[in-house]
Amino acid sequence: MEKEAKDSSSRRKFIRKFGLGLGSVAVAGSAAVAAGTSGSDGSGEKVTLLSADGQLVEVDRASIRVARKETREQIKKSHLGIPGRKFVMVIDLAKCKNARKCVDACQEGHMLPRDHEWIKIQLLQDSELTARYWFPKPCYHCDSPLCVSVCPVGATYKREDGIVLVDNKRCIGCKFCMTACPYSARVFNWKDPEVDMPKDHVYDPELNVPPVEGTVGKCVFCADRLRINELPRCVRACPMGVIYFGDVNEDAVTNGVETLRFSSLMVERHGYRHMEELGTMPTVYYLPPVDRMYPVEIGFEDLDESISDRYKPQGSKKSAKPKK
Amino acid sequence: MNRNKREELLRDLTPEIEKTSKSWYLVFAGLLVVFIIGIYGLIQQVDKGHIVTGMRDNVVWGVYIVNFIFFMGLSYAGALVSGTLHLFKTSWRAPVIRLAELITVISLAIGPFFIFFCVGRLERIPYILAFPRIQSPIVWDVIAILTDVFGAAIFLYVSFIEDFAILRDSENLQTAPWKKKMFRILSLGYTGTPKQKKILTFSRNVMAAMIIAIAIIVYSVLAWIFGVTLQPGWHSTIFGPYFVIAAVFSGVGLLIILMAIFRKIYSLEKYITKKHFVNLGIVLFVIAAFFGYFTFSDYLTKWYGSVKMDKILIDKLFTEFRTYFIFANYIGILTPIIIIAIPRLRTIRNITIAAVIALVALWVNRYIIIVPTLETPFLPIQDTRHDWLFYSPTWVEWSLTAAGVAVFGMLFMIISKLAPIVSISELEEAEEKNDV
Amino acid sequence: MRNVSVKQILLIVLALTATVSHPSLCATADPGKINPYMLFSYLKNTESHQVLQARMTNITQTGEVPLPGLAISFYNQDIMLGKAFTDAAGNAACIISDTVTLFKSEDGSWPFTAVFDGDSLTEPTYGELSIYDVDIEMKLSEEEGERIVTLTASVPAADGPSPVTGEEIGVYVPRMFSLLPVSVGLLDETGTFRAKFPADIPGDSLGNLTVVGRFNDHYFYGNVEKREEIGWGTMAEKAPRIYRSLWSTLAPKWMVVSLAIMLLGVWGHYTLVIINLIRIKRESRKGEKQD
Repeated sequence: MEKEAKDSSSRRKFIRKFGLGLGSVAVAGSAAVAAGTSGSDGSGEKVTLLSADGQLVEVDRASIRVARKETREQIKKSHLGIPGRKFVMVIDLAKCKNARKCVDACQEGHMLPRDHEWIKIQLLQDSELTARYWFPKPCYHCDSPLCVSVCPVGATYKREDGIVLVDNKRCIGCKFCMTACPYSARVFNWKDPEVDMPKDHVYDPELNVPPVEGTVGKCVFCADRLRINELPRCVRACPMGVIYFGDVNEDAVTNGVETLRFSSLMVERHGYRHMEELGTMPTVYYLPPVDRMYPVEIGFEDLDESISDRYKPQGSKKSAKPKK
Repeated sequence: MNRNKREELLRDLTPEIEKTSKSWYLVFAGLLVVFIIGIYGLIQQVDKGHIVTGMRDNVVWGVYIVNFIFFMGLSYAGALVSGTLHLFKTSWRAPVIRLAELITVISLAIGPFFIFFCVGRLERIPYILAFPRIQSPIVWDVIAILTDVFGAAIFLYVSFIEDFAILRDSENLQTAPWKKKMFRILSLGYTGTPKQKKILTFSRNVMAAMIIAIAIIVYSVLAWIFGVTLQPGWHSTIFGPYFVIAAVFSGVGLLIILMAIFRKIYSLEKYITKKHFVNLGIVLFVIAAFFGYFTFSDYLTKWYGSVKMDKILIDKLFTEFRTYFIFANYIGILTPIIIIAIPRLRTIRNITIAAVIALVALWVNRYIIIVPTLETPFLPIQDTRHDWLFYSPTWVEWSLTAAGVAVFGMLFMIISKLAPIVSISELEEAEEKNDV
Repeated sequence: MRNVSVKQILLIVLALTATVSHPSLCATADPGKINPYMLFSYLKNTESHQVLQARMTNITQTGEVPLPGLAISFYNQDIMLGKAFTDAAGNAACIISDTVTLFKSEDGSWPFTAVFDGDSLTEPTYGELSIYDVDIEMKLSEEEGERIVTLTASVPAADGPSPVTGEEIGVYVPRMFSLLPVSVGLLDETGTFRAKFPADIPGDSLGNLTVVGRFNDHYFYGNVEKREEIGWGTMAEKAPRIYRSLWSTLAPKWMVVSLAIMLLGVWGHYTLVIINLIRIKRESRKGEKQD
């Protein structure tokens, strides 16, 4: 009994710290949770809660039993996607000032090491005489994903709702997807990430935690959060409201503050996709960095030196790499 | 059949099967040490993860993949050289054909291991067979290599049958009883009746044809692993044939080198003569010319159009990788051409040196196809740790590379103790023809 | 979706039933506890039920993390309205029962409070609201081929309702994550707002969608809304389920066929050669017998 309580409490701590797990657990297969009458107190105390989809439900606290979930079921579910959805992201380059909150939120939410990013902020300059601008780069979840095409074992897959996931229980780590992706959106777990997980943690590719050494990871559009109608972590974290997210079938995107029609946004702000000519058909759209709210230099302020170093010119092999 | 002739051949070619010299053991032990160091490196890599290699998020493939392509390329020696020489009944093929076939089988056995080293989770390799997606070039590759290994092994065995029969029947052969037993079983009771001979010739012809076809497929598929991606420098329609030519180039180079080595240490001067070196040198010359042509054609089109990414890549090749580029694509191609083009330079030593240069240059050529491309992705490498930017192989990678070479040597040495490294039956046949 | 929500709730309750009292469990770097942020809001929904909602989050350097499993008590002045636990998204809600007579302060507004008493991991906090009652009527009509939404707002009073004028009200369509504003404007002197509803807003597979007339986060009225489902949307197209493509599970047909042909051809020849080798062996046996 004591052990049980400890497990539960560590789970609770884990949930508070990372705000994850519960969401993904909640969408487990129908066998996951069963109602019973094995309550110890049998007080019949009623609890009223607002569920994720806005319904108010009253349940008896005592009549609850949670069964252990099978990871396999979770993986199977992750292949199906959310029916009828087709997710789309819009990134407003005019607003981005390299605040890096999206990077931090993503790393924390997915328990990634500090030097391991699923979303990167690039500093681009299209040609010599044009302006520089900050360019957040998640996975583009392409509609013609080369990374999925080349996977020999089906460890990475595209689902009906457009999301491309990696199952790190299947991934053999051949890295072919990394070379196939023209956007360098994928990262490899070069060493054991050493993440402590609660004992009853169920692996779910929609969250893709914990990272497994020798496998490939990448942005998952926070598919676990989408299951509970929550916006991806980066969208929520961005203080500038740079990132909009939504369902293209509903023709709406939101950055958590304002909700806009996707089609009008594309027309009015001249949305585009990065490197359209490669034919990968990304589902991430960009709004050009015009009428910018901040000068590009502001993005260098308050940066850790280790981070600001990343934007310095690369230089030659010798100068960049002191070791032998 | 000329009995005396056969006795003479056996006398010259079988002593290595009968007894083993001290130096053989010494060399073998040396290679074994190299191999063990490689195993240690592998254990490190499995234990600590790929962090012990020089590969990082941009250069995800390094020396391992270079070695993989390289070893797979060597297997061409057998496939195209022995296959073609056999099919076209080239008169001088007899002493070299067995060597070429051995190179094929051994390098085919080693090559795939480098892919395994490059894979993040070794224990999941069987997933490729359990959950294959046939859209993936890696699956094409696995299927093609498996097919190739089987084919090459059958081809090698079929060509050995007559020799096993000869060894079985030779009473003077002083060797361990288990070896004699092995010869008896493996010779399949072949006695050289016209019917048996007819069947065997048919089988060899079929396998020779198959092996050429499969070899082309295997190496094209290998090239397509790179070709199907969109990466600058890889996304090229020429890559299939380009890789096939490069493979033959390295295969012929290695064949010449091994000829020189075995000729010397197994005293085969009588059978492997200058004629063979010159003839294979000419093959090397032709292939070098083709290889140069493909290389030039590939880089010219990239350079002339000056598409942004191609330009960045070419710039990188001519600055940071200049030394490699010059060695791989100028010296490596021109040296064999010059040495063989000028009759006065065509000595056994020179041709061997040319082959060594060609072989090393080809390895470097593979390196500068793989690494610079990965260092020039479409989106500039940014927002990533500084020491993760560039690739330089670590000792783990080098130790495993050395281990691969060592295993190649060891396998060759073992096989040379079990069966003649030069085909007795082929020589017999060739000499009979000459007598007529 | 109903199943899902029930499960979430069950899980939260599970998390709560566990007894936690371990000092080293604190997750924040500070030896103190999590300092929660409460977003407290009021909603009068389409059935005129009054709902109080509290969203509990932990605002860290990296953003907001929802705090599930916290007990929130809701009050109207001193009247306890109910108690609820936050769900996975950090939301807790309480429907004000029809039987409760709400206390009104002097200016005619209802004072509401949401209180979190704190627990072993989290500091206590509370939120306050004062809300004036308002009613909305929504009428959907088609006039000369145009779809019109008419909203009227009035304040109930003893001497009959009086129109609300000059306040901002809007027409929305619920989308997956939020309400999409279709038209937002001010109520006129009769307390009416008329808006055209565009014809190109996607609905479900039958073209149905929900139209919401709403005071959104109003400083006096909170959230007050009326909802109605109507076939004013465009029909959603069903995407084909099974693809044969490079990236799908099933390979393109030509690829399967050519691979099969090549493999059959090559392995067929291998088999042929192996059969021939067996024939050699047999020939030798025949020879022995003849001898």
